[in-house]
Amino acid sequence: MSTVQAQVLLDTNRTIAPISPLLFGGFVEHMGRCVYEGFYDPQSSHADEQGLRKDVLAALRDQTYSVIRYPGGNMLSGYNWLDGVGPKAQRPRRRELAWQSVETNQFGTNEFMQFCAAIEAAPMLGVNMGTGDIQSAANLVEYCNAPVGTYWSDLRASHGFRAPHDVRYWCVGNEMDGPWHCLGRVGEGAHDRDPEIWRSAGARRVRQL
Amino acid sequence: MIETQKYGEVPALDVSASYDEATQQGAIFVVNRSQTESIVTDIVWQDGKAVQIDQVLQLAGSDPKEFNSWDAPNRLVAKAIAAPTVDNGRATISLPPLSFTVLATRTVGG
Repeated sequence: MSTVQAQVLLDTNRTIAPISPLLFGGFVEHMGRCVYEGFYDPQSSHADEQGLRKDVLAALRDQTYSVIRYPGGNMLSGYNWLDGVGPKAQRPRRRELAWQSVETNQFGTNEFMQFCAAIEAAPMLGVNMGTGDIQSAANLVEYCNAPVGTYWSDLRASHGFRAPHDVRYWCVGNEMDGPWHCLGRVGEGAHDRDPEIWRSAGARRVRQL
Repeated sequence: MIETQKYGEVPALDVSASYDEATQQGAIFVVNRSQTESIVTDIVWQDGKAVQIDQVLQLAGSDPKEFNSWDAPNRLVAKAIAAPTVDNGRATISLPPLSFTVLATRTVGG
């Protein structure tokens, strides 16, 4: 049998491009057991005082994520970020339309910031361009990043987070080119709904932003 | 080269490499797409720096549809294999069919 041979030539003086550390990022979505019963489980004997599982955090730290995207995914297209901030006892239980579960909102934007700090990853937040609008997105940016002294940043401070979160990475909607995201799935079985309508609506919203 | 239904003739090996100037560490990633042939591969460093291979990890199997399950979690696992020595900027490694190999390298000396 003849031997198949090959040659690999390496030259550090002739590189293609730098590799951005942001390529080595991850993604957290309110879906299945990713958040609840995943890394966030206050009932667990492994949980820290914030309800984050220490064993999962340790495993995630080992992965050295540069950046983590949140809160979805398809879930983002029906998510009202205001449901997930403030006193936990007052947060609403909502039907979650993308994955058809119940969202308790016990984990939200501020908890995500604590999670990112715990695993030393930069946060990336998605803004809802499904059922949400430009104003709610702008409000979230102000809530997260403005120094205290304005309506939304003062709301953040009243929730226990006086210092801005300084979120540098933002994601405008989720898969806005796709008919499968949340709005398109409200009323499952409406297969005659023209996906083009949702696609063009999404693209228009992105342009507006 | 191997023949594929969709893409015609393609190279059996798919290779990429990265290098971190700050730590002088590199990585070489090699896929052998051939389902039948081992490929004896010469790796040649052209920039004249002295290099050593610290570690080689390899995932290989005989069935492209192979998968792990709860019952059989170790059908496909990356295994450390013997690192070839680098002699005069050149090392030789035999890559089994259907394999993915990572070589961790380091520039040594000046």
